[in-house]
Parts: sequence; structure tokens; C-alpha cells
Amino acid sequence: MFIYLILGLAFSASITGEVFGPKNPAEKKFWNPLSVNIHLNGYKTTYLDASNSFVFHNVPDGIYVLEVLDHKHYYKTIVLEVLGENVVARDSNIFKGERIVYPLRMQAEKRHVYFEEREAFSIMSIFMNPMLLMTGFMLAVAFLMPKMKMDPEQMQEMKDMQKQMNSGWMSSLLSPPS
Amino acid sequence: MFRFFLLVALAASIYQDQIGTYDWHKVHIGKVIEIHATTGGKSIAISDRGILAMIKPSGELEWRRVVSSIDTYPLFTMSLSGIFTYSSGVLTMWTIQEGQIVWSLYIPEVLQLVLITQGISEVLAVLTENTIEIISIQEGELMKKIYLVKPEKIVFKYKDSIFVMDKKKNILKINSKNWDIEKIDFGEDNEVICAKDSCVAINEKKAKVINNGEIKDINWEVGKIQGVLDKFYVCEGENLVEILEEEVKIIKQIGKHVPSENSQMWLVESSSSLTIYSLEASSISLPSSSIPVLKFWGYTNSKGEFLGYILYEDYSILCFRNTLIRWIREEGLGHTSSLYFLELPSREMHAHNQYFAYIKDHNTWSDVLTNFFLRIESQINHRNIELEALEKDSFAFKKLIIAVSKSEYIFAIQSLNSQIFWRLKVKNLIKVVQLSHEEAILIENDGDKTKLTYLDIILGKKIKEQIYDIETVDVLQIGNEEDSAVYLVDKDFKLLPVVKHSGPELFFYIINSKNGSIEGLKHNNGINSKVWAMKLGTGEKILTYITNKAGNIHQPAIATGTSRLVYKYADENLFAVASQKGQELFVYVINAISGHVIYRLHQDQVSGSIHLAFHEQKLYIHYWNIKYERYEIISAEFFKSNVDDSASDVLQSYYSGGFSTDYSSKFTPEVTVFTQTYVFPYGIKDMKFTTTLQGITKPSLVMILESNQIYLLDSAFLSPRRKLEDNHEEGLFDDPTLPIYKPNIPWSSINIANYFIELEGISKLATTETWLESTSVVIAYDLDMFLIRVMPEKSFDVLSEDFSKSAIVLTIGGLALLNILVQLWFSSKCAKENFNT
Repeated sequence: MFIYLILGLAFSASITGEVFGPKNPAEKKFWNPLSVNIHLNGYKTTYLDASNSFVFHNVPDGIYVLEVLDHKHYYKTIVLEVLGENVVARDSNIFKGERIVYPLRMQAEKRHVYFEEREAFSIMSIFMNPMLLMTGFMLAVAFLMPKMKMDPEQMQEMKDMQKQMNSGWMSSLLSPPS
Repeated sequence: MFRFFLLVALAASIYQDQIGTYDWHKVHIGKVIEIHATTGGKSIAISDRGILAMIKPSGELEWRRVVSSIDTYPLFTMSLSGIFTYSSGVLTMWTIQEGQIVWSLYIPEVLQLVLITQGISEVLAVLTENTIEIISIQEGELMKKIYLVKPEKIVFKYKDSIFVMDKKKNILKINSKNWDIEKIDFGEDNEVICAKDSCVAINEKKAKVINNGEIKDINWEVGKIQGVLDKFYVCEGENLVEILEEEVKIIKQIGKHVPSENSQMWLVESSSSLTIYSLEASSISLPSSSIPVLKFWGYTNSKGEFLGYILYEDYSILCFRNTLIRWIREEGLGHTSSLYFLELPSREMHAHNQYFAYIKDHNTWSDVLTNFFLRIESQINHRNIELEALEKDSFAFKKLIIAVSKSEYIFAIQSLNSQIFWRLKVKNLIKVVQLSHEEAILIENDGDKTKLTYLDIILGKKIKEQIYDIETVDVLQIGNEEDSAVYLVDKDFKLLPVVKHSGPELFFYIINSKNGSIEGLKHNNGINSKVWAMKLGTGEKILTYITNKAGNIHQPAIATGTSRLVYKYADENLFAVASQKGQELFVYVINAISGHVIYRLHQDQVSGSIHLAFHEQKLYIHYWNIKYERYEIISAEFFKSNVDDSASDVLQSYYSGGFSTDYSSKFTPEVTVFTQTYVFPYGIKDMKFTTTLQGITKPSLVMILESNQIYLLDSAFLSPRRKLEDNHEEGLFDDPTLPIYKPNIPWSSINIANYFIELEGISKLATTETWLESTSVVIAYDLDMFLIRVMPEKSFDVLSEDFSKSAIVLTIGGLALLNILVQLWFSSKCAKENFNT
């Protein structure tokens, strides 16, 4: 066990890489490399130096997950396999996928969207109200139906129906107050 | 697909203008081990938690960095060139203004960092177990390596020489120009004490001294050395002593004091003030605190003003300038080991409690009339108590958070505004148990005794203390608010009731991680009897366990897409244990009362830490899959095997044996278990379900990611009953409201509860309910503290944020107007028709 520990310590690599801001020049000018953290398996943390590079020293053999944390931009998570002084990097989303470039070159992919957008006020939202739509339809029918050319007998039937309605409870709604 | 994304959006989202409305954040660095003033009133501090930070004149942090990893004790030194730290084998240089890394080097086993002058430039001397390595500051490159035999520490530097003491108490004088080493036999068998520029080895009334770079023997008649103050020694009688050419001289008597870590100043504590003295005989006074001082750093500037920092026993740090306090940082909360939510009283309840507490001590015949008038007064006009800040609000969002710090202090924090109301020194606290809305018990281990302190949680004052003659290893708390019981558990697992339960026997279980055994016991009338026992397989090591905190189960049955009723197996007496043997993970779901193993799960190729979450019928297990090199979550759901196809089935079951929603822990029904594995992109430190009072709304799974972000996940994504895309047949337990199965859990930044706030060092979660069924309160803590209200189904009892009140008013107003206009129009039309006919 002791021998393996010594061998493990003897064979350890440095994990190095460079972090790039967003490609869009308008976004890039707001990118702050000082706010970028790099985490290795969540237990080791480092930051970028003046050349936007980072290094984890003396990493023993094993499999590690490297995350670049920037509160404005999303970076891919990388799986690293360290064996002796060799480091192999893969995209964590693809099982045993192709290797990616090492030393790492981490590119900002997209902006984080943390918040829901408030819907702006729209006059259409009032007009699309179901109550308003139903009332509008009823009024349209009430205006348009009489203007349609109908069979005189059907017309008479409708008038009779209207008279019946007027004598019922609807008349109290439709007739003006006395 | 649309249903899929809708679920993603609903889990956690807030609007940008709501930042800070439902959450607050406390930033900490931990117990300060060194602090230095820099330009512009700023300070550079480093803590024992491995955090380096710059503090603004306001006390807020300008920037904060983790020196390699949290909780690795760092070494530190700084000059105008920059800051130098060492942690976990890495030596790093940082810029002062931005905290940016200039360079970093791997050097194993560093003992000390000292900046020395070589000629006109400054270099860094790094002491390791057998060398001193000289590193250039600009490039971070090794300039010179000097081999030494068993060095212990660099004791001081004087002109062009560095003086190093080895383990045999000899002094090595190293010339920084030509790196020549001169060995000086010094300490031999005597104790060696060193000040800023000298060392003394006392042998009764004689002493060997290295002072001004020269070694000499002098008479030492000032007694034993008790401490050091810059270049001076503090000897018996609290006398400040200076080493002169041929003798030592007492300069003054300074009394019991705390010496400055970096200058010729000292601090004297009294009950009314803290007085800071300098050797020039000037002094200032600051208000005293009831908390003892641990450390003190003092300076005087060119104007003769006193500046400095005081570290207190509760790890809070104060910055002063003359008699003005510039800022105070509560760094005790940067070491929070556990946390409890306590309910607060309403104003009426507090007045009621105050009145009954008063009459308890005033219950003689002569007090009857006074008590009567008091009672009437309390009904009309609530006694003037400063309660508002600690008074329950309408929806019980306001709680009292008791944060237990490793500084041996507990802090009471109000959950809405994060204000600290009181603090109390408590050693070896095991648990906090709330008895009523104004009283709690603090259970502390006091050697082989247990101390119970009854505490008024509003004032933070002790009501009474009780001592029990047992060594408590754990505390069991059962029951609800009206009828709860508290038992102390000793090392032989005997239970001592402290607050008694009116219920019958008590069942509990013991997990022995050393020998891999689990036992279930019954406690009745002071006697424990074993009910069941289980031994795990040979080589299996118990990693973690979790109990099913189901709480109120509002919906014990689920209607499926095929109009059937399926019944959750959500017995709250279930617990899950995770064990590991090599790369094999085993998870057992066990009934604590009967000992029945409901389910046993096996997963191969597992490593790293295992995290469990258990709620109602759902169990989630997070782990690292070695074969696929990714994090996964196994989701398991437990249902009773009987399925009711129609109302007649339900009635038939009821008349034959009772509701299918009932179950007894003594008889395990046939259980159907569904499992599914999902790929989750990140490692986690903790995960918990949110809970609500009635259990109506769906819970959210809260996770602390390894990157210190807090992620909220809708448990629908982790359901093992999600249909496979090409499976057209409806299964008995299928649920059409669930999204179609996809192995990868969708990731959305909208579910990051801490949005763009940078958290560091959070590792634990605590959750509590509120009176709104849609809302739970979650807090993440350890180094930082972040509290947030989580609303997985916020539309359940709260109008949505974008609910347009103006649209409703306009619509109703418009309809009313339309109604009047139409009435007028119809009446005129009828009149015309009547006229024409």
C-alpha cells in the first residue's frame, strides 16, 4: 500500500489549460477573467492568471471532472484521465467520446439565463380575454343576423321568438330602466 | 417536448427584479489567522479555512479566493510586491489589488514562508523539511536550494542573515549574500524562546542570547518567559523585559494582556472597556464586549493614530481606527456545523406566555387582584415587548435560525433579514430541541455528564439548567408539536426520557458502521429489547443512511393514465442504508419497526461519495459511475402491488380489509419497485427534498453542486415511470403527465437558485415548511450562508407575478360599459320597431 502511495505521488501530472471569453466581441468586453473559477472534482479550486491560463499541480492518477465556473457564461464540463504524466481529456457529455485538445482550451459557449422574462404589457392580451370574446361574438350575431337575407317564414319565426324572449327574463336586462 | 420544457421552467424561476426579495446571502472567510492593512483603508486577511480575501473599508469583501481547497490550513506572508500563500503543496503569488494569480509552483512539505532582502531586492525563503529554497518573486523560479539537517523554523532575520533553529535547538546563521551557513550551538536541553530579532535559552539564572546577530551569555534574573511582545519578552509578574548589551532590563509592568501579533502594542480587557497600549505610553479605549479576545493586531500610523484588528473568541473580527469601530465581521458563522429552524411566537402568544410566566411567580392571595387587572390589560393592550422583529408573520416565513458554530458559540438569526439577535457560548452541543414557541433545550456533552439548558429563544437567556449523569451520544426526538418526547441516548444505547411522550412503546434502530450491523430495538418502561438485527455482507462498509421524512402524505394514491388507482408505499418508518464493498454499491431499504428489507439495490463500478434523498415513495441515489465516467442518479419508487381498476374495486377493498391507503409497519405488503438510472452532469455535496405542511404540492429536489451552486430539480424528471418513447402499450403504473424518458437530466440555468451569486464552501442543506403550501424555505450553509424560498408550484396559492390586475379591471369596466350601451341601443331599437308596427 505504501509502495503504491509513493508510486502514486511519484507519478502525478499538472493539468493546464487556457480559458477564453465569448466569441461575440460585444459580450467579450464584459467578460471578467477575475471572476472565473476552475474546479477539479469539486475539491480543488484555482483561478486564471494574467494570461488567462490555469494549472493544477501534482494531480495523482485517476479520473477527474473539471468545471469552469463563470456566473455569466456556460463552459463545457471535461472529464480528465490522468495516468503518470499523461492527461487525456474528453467531453463529459459523450461517453468515451473523442479526445479533446490538451492543454485545455475552454471556450465560453452561451450565456446563462437565470431569470424568467416578464411579459410586456400588450393590448392584445385584453382583447384576447375569453369573456370579451364571447360578448363580442354575441353582439356581432345580434347585429348581423337581422341583416342576413332570410326566408320570410323563417324571418317571421325569428320575430316571434324575439317577442317571446322580450316578454321573458331577458327583457329586464335588455330594456332600459323605466 | 413542450411539456418537457414547461416543467424545466416551472421548477425555480424568478424575475430579475426579485433578486434579494426571496433570498439573502452571508459571505464569510472563516477564523482569521493573519490580517494586514493595505492602502486605502483595505485589509488582506487569510483564514484557517484556506480563504484569502481583501476587505474594503466598509467591511465587505472586495474579492475572495480559495487557496487550493477549503479547510486546508494555509501558510501566508505578504509585502508590497504581493501576497504569497502555500496550501496542499502549491506555493502561489497573488496580486494585492485584484487577487489574481501571478505564478504558482509545486513544492512539497513547506513549513514556513519568509520574505527576505537580498541586496536591494526581495526574495522568498521557503523552509521545507530539509531545505531552504530561495524563490524569485517576479518569475516564481528557484534561485537557490540550501540543504539543512532537520530545520524547525526560521526564527528571525537580521540585516543580511537569516537565523534558523533546528530540531536540536541549534541556530544556523545563513548569510543571504553568499549563502554561507554558520552553526551556533545554542539551546541544548533548554527551552528556546524567540522574539522578533533575538532568541533566548534560559538555564536557571543564566541565559544564552542571540541578539543583534551576536551570541552572548548574560545573567537572567527576571524569571521565566511567559510570552513575547515584538522585540521584547514578557516575564514573570507580567513584566516587559528588554535585552541590552550585557543584561536584561524590566521596562514596565503591563499586567494581564493580549500581545499584538505584529507590533509593540498590547490589549488589556476589563469589564467596561478594552484598552490598547503602545510602548510610547499612549493608549486608547474601545467598548468592551462580553466575549474574550483571542488575538489582536495593532498599528500606529504616521499621525499617531491607532489602527488594528481584534479577533474574538466567537471568531468575529473587529477593525478599529482610534476609538472608532470601522467594521465587524461575524466570522463565527463561517464555521457553521449544524443549523436548526425554530418557530417564533405570534404577538398574542407571546403576551399570553409572558402573563402566565409572571403569575407563576406571583400566585399568592395578595397577588390575585393585581393579576386580575393585568389579565384585563393584556386583553386590551398587549404588553409593550420589543417583539416585532421576532414575531411570527402571517405566512410563517419568519423563523429563528440557530446556527451552531465550531467556535463553540450558537447564533440566533432571524430568517427574513438575516440579522443576528443574540449569541451564546455552548460547548459540545449535541442538539437543539424546541419545546414551545419561546423555549428550547440545548443538550450539551460535559465530559461524562450531560447538561440540559432551557433557553428563552427570544432573549437568548438561560431559564434553568439540569445535569444528568450520563454521557449522551445522541438525542431522539419524536412526536409532534402538541405531544413530543425527547430521549437522551448513552453509549450503551440506554434511553433516558427528558420530555415524556404520552404514546406507547418507542421503536428505534442503531447503525454500527464499524462492524456493519444494524439493530432494531423497542423501548418500553425504561427497558430496551431487541426486535430485529441485521449484519451486512463481509467486507461491506456502511457509508451513509437516510430516513424517509414523508411528513403529511396528502395524496397516498395516484390516478394513472388508464384510470386506475395505484398506492404509494410511503411508510415513514422506512430508512435506506448505503454500503460499499470494493466498487460495488448496495442500498437497503428497511422497515425500522419490523426489520423487513423492502428492497435491496446493487450497482457495480461505483466510486466517490454517495448521496441519498428519500421522500414518500421516492428514493434517489447519486454516485460516480466508473465504467461510464459520469455521475448518475438511480431513482427508485415504491408502490403497493395492488391496483384498483374502478370505484367498485376501492369499495370492495374497503369492506374486506380497510382502505388500501392504510398500512402497518408490522406487516409488509407486496411491494412493486420501479427503478431507472439517469445521467446527471455534476457531482454534488448534499441533496434534500423540500417539504410543505400539508404535503399537497409537489416537492423540489434541492442539490448543492460541487461548484457551490444550488440546483433545484423537478422530481418528475427523475421518475422511473417515465414511458420509453417506443413503448406504445400503457403499463399499469404509467403516468401520462410525466415526460417521455430521456437518460440525460435536462440542465437549465433558470433552476440555479443562487443565480449569479458566488457561493463558497457550502456543503449542507436544511429545509423547513411555511404556512403557504406552495413555499418552503431552504438554507445552504457551512462557510457561506444562503437562504431562499423555493416555490415549485407557486401558482397553487399565490397569484402569479405577471398576473395583470389592470387587464382584469379594464375588462370588467369595459364589459360594464358595453352592457349599458347595449341596453340603451336595444331599448331605442325596440321603441322604433314598436313605433313602426
